[in-house]
Formats: sequence, structure tokens, C-alpha cells
Amino acid sequence: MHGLHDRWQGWRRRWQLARLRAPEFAFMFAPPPPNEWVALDCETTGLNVRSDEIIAIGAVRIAGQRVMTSERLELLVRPRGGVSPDSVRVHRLRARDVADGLPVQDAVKRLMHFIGSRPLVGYYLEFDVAMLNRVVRPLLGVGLPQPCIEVSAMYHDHKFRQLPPSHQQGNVDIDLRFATLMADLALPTREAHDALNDAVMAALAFIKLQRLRAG
Amino acid sequence: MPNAFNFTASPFDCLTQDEQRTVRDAVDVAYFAEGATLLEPGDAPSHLFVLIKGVVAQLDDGQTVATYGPDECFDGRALVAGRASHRFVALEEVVAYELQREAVMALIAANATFGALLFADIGAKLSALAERHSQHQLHSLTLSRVDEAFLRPPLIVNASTSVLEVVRLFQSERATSVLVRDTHSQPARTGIFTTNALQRAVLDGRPLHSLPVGEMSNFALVTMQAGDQLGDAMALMLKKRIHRVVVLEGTRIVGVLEALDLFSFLSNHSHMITVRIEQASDLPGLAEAAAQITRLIGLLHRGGTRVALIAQLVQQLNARLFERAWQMIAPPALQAASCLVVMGSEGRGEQLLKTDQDNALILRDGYAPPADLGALCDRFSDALASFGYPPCPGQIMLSNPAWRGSVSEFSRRAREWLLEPSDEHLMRLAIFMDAHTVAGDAALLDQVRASVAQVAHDNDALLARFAAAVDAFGHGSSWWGRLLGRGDAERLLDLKKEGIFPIVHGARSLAFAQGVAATSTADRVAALVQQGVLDATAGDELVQSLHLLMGLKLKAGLTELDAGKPVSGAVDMARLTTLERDLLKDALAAVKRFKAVLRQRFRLDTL
Repeated sequence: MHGLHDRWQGWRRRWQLARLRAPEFAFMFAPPPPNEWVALDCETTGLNVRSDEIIAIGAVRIAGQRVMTSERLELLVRPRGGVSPDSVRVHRLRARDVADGLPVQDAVKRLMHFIGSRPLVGYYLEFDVAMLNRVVRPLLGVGLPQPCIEVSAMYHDHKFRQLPPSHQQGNVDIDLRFATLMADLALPTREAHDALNDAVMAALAFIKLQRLRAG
Repeated sequence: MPNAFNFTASPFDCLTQDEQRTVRDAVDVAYFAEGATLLEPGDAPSHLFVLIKGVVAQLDDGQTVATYGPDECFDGRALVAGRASHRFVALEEVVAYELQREAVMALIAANATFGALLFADIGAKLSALAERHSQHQLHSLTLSRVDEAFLRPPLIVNASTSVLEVVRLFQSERATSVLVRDTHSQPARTGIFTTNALQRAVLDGRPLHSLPVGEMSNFALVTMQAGDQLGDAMALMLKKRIHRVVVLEGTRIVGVLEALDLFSFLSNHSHMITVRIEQASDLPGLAEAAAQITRLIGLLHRGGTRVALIAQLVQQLNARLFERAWQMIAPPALQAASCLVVMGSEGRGEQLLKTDQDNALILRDGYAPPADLGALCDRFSDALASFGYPPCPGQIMLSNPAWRGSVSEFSRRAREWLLEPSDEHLMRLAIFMDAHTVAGDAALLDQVRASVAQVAHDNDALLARFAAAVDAFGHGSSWWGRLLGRGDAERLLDLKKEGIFPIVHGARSLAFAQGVAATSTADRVAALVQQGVLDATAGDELVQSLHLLMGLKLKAGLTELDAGKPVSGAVDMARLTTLERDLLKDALAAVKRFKAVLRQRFRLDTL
């Protein structure tokens, strides 16, 4: 099974590599360094993947059981449109705060260099990756090639395994909210909706859940 | 999360903005499962751990020597030495910051306080602390209330009083000012007449016996409220170029604050109590002065004065207080032919807040004391009780006939204590060893001491029994558990039992074995270091630890007094700051090492 999966990953990588428009990003398709991941979080002007924009990116490398916050990536991005008052209430980044931010292409390039070929980790990562891919696709010709590890899915599996066998069928109601997850895992929390804080917290949850899975 | 690094916990609370940035840029976050080893003896540590969550135990040969909780950090020493000598294990799952070694080294180089707090031994930590405190010392004194300084009681005269009469009053009351009440004006007003105004009165030309003081007085009084701050009083005097302010409580005049008293309060506040003790003419007067001592201690402590210094001051004040009380009670002949001694912590000069009176009276051989000696001694004990020193529950005071007697009687008793070393006798011996003369002929105490010294000191079994009391309150390592602050019942730590007593009694035992005459623990330790019985570092560590423990006990005691509760001697772990907990851990570790030395020296394990 494992061999098959690896072979499929290898094939996928080669296929994507073949479609890569920008050869300087070939490093993203190299085999990832062992035991390393990158936890990622973006703050956006809203939740619409088509129309909203990224305004902050926080990313941090995970090496084994360590979150390498000393090598963190924290970027502010200048959106083309405005910052809606509703979203300011969430992330507290006002238009003037992001006015000096990078153009989104530059920010995403820096992020790709930071990520390298490491798998991505995050909470509700699908959204962040979709937001990023809007910029990545025109650059590379393909989306981010890394496997994505969803912390809420890991948490779901973890809670599911703890259920008595009689309950382990059908739709199980497990509270997957981030605050619930962090509290249940007894991990320290910091102010949410700060891209870097969120990435670090997701990284910690990932490390602990990985550890719990190993038993 | 690096942005959330807690810079209010020691040692990081002394960092500048730039230095805080250094920390943020060099910190990682690591996760350790329960039971995981964070650091192994022989490792070359690459970073300093600062706990965010969880508990880590520091093990030496399998024995827990310290535990660390959130906001606490380790292992500074290993980091600088480049080699870990202890094992650090996660007792509970741990999330910790890892601060890179290079950054720690840079911070140490840039900020001496940080370095001292981080890894230096306890002595250096304390002086680093004192350095920080001293900046606040004068500051906090100037924040004291105006009525905490010495206020002169107001002398009030009528405006029609002649200047000559006022000058007579100055003379008789040793005053330099009077308040002048003018009831003829509408409404009635109050002014002040000072020795400075006297010059103008003389130059006025009218005869002083017929010149009403009201005409020469200044009715633009400068006043302050009793609750105002001394710093403001000082500023006001400097601004208005005046030497006195009238202190009010509401509209009522409570006294006059003179510049001289203000400055002497700020420079040496014990001075006023000494003056009061000297000037008291009866026992109630002394009791008033005694009541001020506790206030002074609180003031000095809040001001950050070193605890050793406070203890020294308190010993001097108490000695003078006891001497004056004894002089008021005992006839001169008895005073001359006897020696009043204080014992226990008072004798060692290590008492801060008032504790039980431990005292005794030694009479010259051949002197026939007055028939009412018993009554006189009772009066003395009662007087001390009225000063706030409760009677000793063990009746170790001169009102008990067992604690008064001639030199030969005391010598015989002391030899009995040595020859029949029951627990009771050894306790008496221990208390008597700390005796210190406060009044009368100190030579009498020396004579008793000399005769005790004649009894062989090389009796190993006796010494071992004497020293064995250091383990009397032995709790093994349970107090480490209490440092974690789990559960309310376990939060209280009896500093005396766990730390102060083992240090004091250990030093006393070694001093006894070596024939050291000094009575204070610090002096005993110094003598033992000189004789090579203790090494200098260990000695320094012991004294610093003792002072730290005394300071913590004082702080807890003052808090209890503020709350109107009796002083219990217990300290609530939850109320300690991280630095205090850190220092306490170091101090208790020093106590543990000292006990090991004693166990080996007196072969306590073979008992």
C-alpha cells in the first residue's frame, strides 16, 4: 500500500513538474527533507475564494517536534481592493496597516521559497491553499504541489479512534472548532487571527496529534 | 507565538526593547510528551528552555533537585558551561520555548542583570535583585505618608501672648516654632511664629514682653494632609523655601513636619525610634516606641532594604528597648551585678517581626539579689508582653526561676544539659548557645560560656545527637512538590522548619563542635569557613539562603499583619513571584546540600 502511494506521489510530482512554467521553482518538486513540514495560515479580506484577497501570510517550519519560530515567515500583503470593515474586526489589519505590504506575487514567491518541497500543515488548509493557488497557478502553471495535512482531519480521526466501537459508524458529531481542538489537546493558545500565531498553534496541534497517533 | 513571549517573568523582565526583539527572533517552540527527556547529562545544550506549559523535573542521580513550571527557565549554567550535568525530564507534557544559545550569550554580554538572574549562584542573583531594588528605595520612601515621618506635636499659643513668653516656650519645649491662634479676627485664623521671625521681632524695637506674637506671625499657613506623600512635602518645602509644613487631618491640626525631621526620616528612619526609646520616661512611652519598630520594618522592607541590614537594625533597637525597660524596672545594684541576656533568634540578631521572648538573667556569684527579684522579673516579662513580645510558651524567660540564677548555677545547669543530653536539655543548650547580652555585666555570660566550653567538645555521640535536630522536621523531598503549587493545602510552606532551622541549627552544631564563640549564624559560618570546616562558596550560599528565607518569611508575615491576622510563619507558594520561587528553590537546594554535609560530619545516618 505504502509503496503504491509513494509511486503515485512520484508520478504526480513528475506530471506537475512537466507542466511547470517557471523552472526556477523546480525545487518545490524535489523529495522533501525528512521529518519537516511547513505550517501555514493566511488572513484574507473575506471568505470568498474567488473575490477576496490575501492580506497576511504566516508560515513556520516544523522540524521533528520543534516549531522553528526563529525562522518564521511573516508577510503583509497589499490588496488591490479595499479591506472590508467586517474582516478588520477579525484580523485587526486595517487598510493603512497593509498599505506598505508586498504585492501578492512577491509575497507568494517568498512563501514558496520558504516552503521548499515540504508538506503543508494547517487548519482548514484547503481555503488557504485555494487562495494561494490563485496566485501560484499563473506563476507555475500548476497549483502548490505539496501534500496538505489537515489538522482538523487528524483531530477528527483522533477523536473517532477514542469512541467506543459501537459509536464508530456513520456520521459522528465531533466539535472541530479550533478553540475546542486546542483546549482538548491541552495546548497553549495565543490570540487567534494573527497569521503567524495561527500557524504556530496549528503546528503544535499537528505535532501533538502525530504523537498521539504514534501512541 | 514568539510575539506572545512573556517578558514580565524573570529574568526576561529586565530586557530592553531591542533585547526583547533578540529573544523573539531566536526562539522556537518545542513539544515534549510526558516522560520525555529534554536534557541529558553530557549534552551540549543548544538553547535555554522557557516553559510555556507543563512541568519539568531536574534530576541528579535519579533524585529530584528542582522542578520548573510555566515561565520558568533552565539550564542557564549548563548553557554557559557548554555541558549539561543534570537530567531534565517532562513530568507532564511540555510545551516550551527554546531560546538559542547564541542569543542567550548575546543577552548576557549586553545586560549584566539578565546574566546574573539567569545562571549565577544565589548570592549573585540576590545582589542583582538588590541593585534593581535600590533604584526604588528612595522612591518608595518618598511615597510614604507624611504622618509616617516624625511629626512634632503642635504647640499652640494665643495671638495676644507676648514674644518673650513664646521665647520661654521655645526654650522649655526645645521647639523652634509655635502655632498662633488669632480669635479676634473674623473668622478666627491660625498662623505660625518661628525662630526666624524672632529676628524681625527683635528688630521691631518694641519691648518683647509687650509685643503680641500675633503681630509678628505669618498667617499664610502652608498645610498638607496626613495622608499626602512625603515626596510632595519635600517638593513643597523646596518650592516655597520653607522649613515646616503644618499637617492636617481634615481641618484638625495634627502636627508640624520640619524639614530636618523629613530629611532625617528619608536618610535614616530608625533614628526617630532611637530618639523615642531614649526619651521615653516610663514603660508606656517605651511601648509606643516598640510599636513603631514593626512599622519601620514594613517600611524598610517595602523600600527594598536588605534583610540582613533590617535584622541588624532591629537587634540594636530591641537591645536598647530591653535595656531601657530593665533600667526602669530593676534597681541599680541589681543591674550592676547581673547580666540580662536574650536568646534564640533575638540573640542571633536574626529576628524581624516580634516573636516569643527568650531571655534569662545571670547573677554575679556571691551577690544577694533583692527579695522581690521574682516580682521584678515578672514585671519585666509583662513589660515585654506589653511591647508586643508574647510570653514564651516554653517559659524560657527570666520570670521562670529556671532561667535566672548565678554564674555557677547556670554553669552547673549547662553542664547537666551536656551530660544528660535528653531532647529537652539539648533544646535548652541550643537556645542558650545563642545568648547575647543586652544589659548589665556581659562578663557574667562569658564566664558561663567558658565553663560550658570546658566540658569536652569531642564527645561524638553528644554532638551527633545535638546536630540530629536538623532532621527533626525532615520531609524528605516533599517540599519540592509544594513548589508546584498544586492544591491549596500543599501551597503553604513552613520556611522555618524547611529552611531556616536547618541552616541555623546546622551552623550552631558545627560552631559547637569547633568551639566557635560567635552567636549569629553569619558570624558562625564566617568562622567555620576560616577554620576550613566549610568552603567559602558553601558558606556564602548558606548565609544568602538564610537571608532570602528570612526575607520571604518577613514578607509573608507583613502581609498577614496587614490583613489583621497573627503571623504564622508559613509562606503561600502561590503568592511568590517567579523569581522568588526560583530563589527559594535554590535556597532549599542549598539547605539540602548543607544537611548532607552535616550528616557526613556528624555521621547522622548511623544514629
